[in-house]
Amino acid sequence: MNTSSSVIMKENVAALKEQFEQLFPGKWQLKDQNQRNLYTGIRSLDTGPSRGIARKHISEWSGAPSSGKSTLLRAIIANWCSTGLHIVYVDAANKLIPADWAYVEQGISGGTPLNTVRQRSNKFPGLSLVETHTDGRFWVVRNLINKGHKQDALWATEQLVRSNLFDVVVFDSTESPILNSRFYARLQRSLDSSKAALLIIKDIDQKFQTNSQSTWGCSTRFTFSWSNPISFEYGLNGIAAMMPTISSSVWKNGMTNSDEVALGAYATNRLFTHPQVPDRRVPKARTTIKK
Amino acid sequence: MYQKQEPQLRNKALALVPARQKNASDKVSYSNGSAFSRIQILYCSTFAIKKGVRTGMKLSEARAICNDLVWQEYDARLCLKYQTSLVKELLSCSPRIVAREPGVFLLDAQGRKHLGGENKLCRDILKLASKCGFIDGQIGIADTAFGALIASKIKSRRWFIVSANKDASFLSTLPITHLPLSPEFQHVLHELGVKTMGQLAQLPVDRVIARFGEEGRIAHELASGFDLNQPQIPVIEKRFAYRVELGGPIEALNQTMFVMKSMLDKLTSELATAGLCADELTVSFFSDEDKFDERPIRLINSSKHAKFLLEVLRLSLESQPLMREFTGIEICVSRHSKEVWNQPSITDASNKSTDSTPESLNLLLQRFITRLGSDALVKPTANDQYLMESSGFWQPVIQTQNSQTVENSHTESLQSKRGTTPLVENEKESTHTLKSNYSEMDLVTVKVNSEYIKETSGASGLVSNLVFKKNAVAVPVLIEFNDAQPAAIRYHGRWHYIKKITIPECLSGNWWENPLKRSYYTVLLDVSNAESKVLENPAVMSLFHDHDSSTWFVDGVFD
Repeated sequence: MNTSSSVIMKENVAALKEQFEQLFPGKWQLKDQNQRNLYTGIRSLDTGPSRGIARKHISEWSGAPSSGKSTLLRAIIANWCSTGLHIVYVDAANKLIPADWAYVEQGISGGTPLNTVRQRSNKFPGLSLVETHTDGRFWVVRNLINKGHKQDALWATEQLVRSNLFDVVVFDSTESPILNSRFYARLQRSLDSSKAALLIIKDIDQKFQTNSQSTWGCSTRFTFSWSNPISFEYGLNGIAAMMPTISSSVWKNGMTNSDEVALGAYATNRLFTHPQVPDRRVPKARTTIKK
Repeated sequence: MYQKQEPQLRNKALALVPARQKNASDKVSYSNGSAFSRIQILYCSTFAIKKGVRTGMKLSEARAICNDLVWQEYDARLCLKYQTSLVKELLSCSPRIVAREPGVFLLDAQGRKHLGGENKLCRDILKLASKCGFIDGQIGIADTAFGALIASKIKSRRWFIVSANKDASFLSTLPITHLPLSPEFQHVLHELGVKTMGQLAQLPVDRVIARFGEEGRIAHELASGFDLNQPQIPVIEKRFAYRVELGGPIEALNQTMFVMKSMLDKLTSELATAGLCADELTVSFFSDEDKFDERPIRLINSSKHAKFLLEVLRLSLESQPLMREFTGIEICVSRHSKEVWNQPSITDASNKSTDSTPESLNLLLQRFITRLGSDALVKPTANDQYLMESSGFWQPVIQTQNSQTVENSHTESLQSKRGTTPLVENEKESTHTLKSNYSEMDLVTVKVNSEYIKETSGASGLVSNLVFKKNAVAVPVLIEFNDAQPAAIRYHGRWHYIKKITIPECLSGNWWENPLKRSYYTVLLDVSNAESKVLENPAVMSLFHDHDSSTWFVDGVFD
């Protein structure tokens, strides 16, 4: 009887979570839960026409080269990793720096959308919004430019989709010249036999880059840009940090939905955020003097 | 049910016993694990009860009491079939209905005031059950499911209605044997002098929980007239089946497969729409109206791919050919399950033992090594350096035996070259080398003291706020000054106004390896003119001035 009552209790809790998931998508996402759509945890992306990121489909993640799309994506990937999903990022142009993404597997990202709550609440452990798992993987495919094959990035993306090991494959197509409709069709065929969601990052600003704005073959298109006005944090001698807000726009099946994502992020006048640990260079400096 | 199925059992003392099953050693036992003589009776008919047979009694005892006792094994399929058919009939009495253990149904009896009242509902239900062949039904109506269940057990009446809000008082006089308690729990309660549900309900709930745990809490709630079980609207199961009547007889395998392909295409598209996968298919072949072949095909893994299912059917037909030609065919998904979206868990591929990694991952890694090399698939790792290009490194996911040896020896040679002291053991494990795009030199990595950072800046201090996308090579740019401040920048062939610029961070050092003297700025660019406050196409960039070469560079953009 004890077992049966606990089973009933678990079922009730699961049903309650499902109801809450419908009200607040993405915030009650659990591992081992069957989900056709992956919720991002950002209301405007989850409740609009897109209903999150669809598995087995191509979604475009587009914006100007500096528009906040990667920062937002990093926050979402951290959220996914903390729920046990596996993500792989094909960095075709070798633009990412590892320090930015080092703690994503642990669910830590710098700029976090202010309306997303991911971590387990210490105060109310029973009321955690998302169960935190640390077994989600975040891998990156890079160093492809100098290999001699122009289509290596596309080949790698297709292999990763077909492997059926990753929940989300992100293809950063910045500076990739051969993203045509044939490639989209081929990727879509690969997705038919996979359960992954494919996100293609595109730079669409003609003033900096020349990628086409075609959305042929993608089911959903997310567009981002900095919204006006941008806030600044002033120090004693001038601007110390810039604090932009991201505006998002979702297109799906001819329907669009626009919203703003308040991002708790900023660009400071310092290169790195964390303070230096003292004394770590001393032995190295001494040895160099000897040399 | 059994008497209805076999009319010769009517007016006989009938008892149901657990079903037989074969264990690993091919020994027949009963589902409760006991031998034949010790099996207990699950259910007995009214005739059997009249002769003294009771539920829970050993079969040997029952046979001693009642010499003409007939016993049958419990058939779960038969029960399910009759339960389902009865639920379908009872739906006309109440839209909310739940079938519980065999023969017990929960119906919603609310809102009957203007529909003839609760007595009429009871009469209707009994009439309906009688029409279906079930004549000895009993009904209880109460606020809670538990109260109604107890009320239905009052044998003197065919239906018993507990007044509204009187469940607790109705239950209070009844013995605790009605509660779903373990024998030990019941014994303890008897020892404590708690014999009725009213006495149990009067005990403080926190003390009951402290003594008896979850079971005690449930028993206390039920005895107090609380039960969360409610009848619900039943989910109607959709049947996934297609039947095709062909114009003439077919015998050839190719023709059969052609017909099956179109049927499977439709079936799988329906399954995909419903988010389901097939677990078992049943294919039936007809000659006119005569079903001459039926083959259930169980799938190892649930699937909704038409091609795969067609191959399975082909194999079945090749291994067991049809005896004769057919004119009709039916494919039915006899069992299905929800589509599973979870991907297999990826164990750490950097681990040398690849036994635990799934085969598909091994295959993928081998492909990447063969075509792209071992440094293509990497994972980011933090490094305790300050400059962007050295503040982290890409750790290869694939580490073959050779590359590990090379790395270790390379690190050792670097250390000996620089005269550095060997790292402590735990740091050595995480030691790797990286090639910096900027300096083209090897750096020994230092493990980040994340605890120190968390203490000083919190978890958010571990990573930068906006993602930085660094140019592979810093792009030299022209700068236009206004009052000694950068005012415009020529980048990618056009001029952009610098709307805002931060105070610089001046860095110098690293003179022992590659001297560095730079001022780093974060700038907000835009294509709009200097006076306009509205930003047309803003971009946040990192700009630095190299003092040695007196050149300005764009390092990358914040995205």
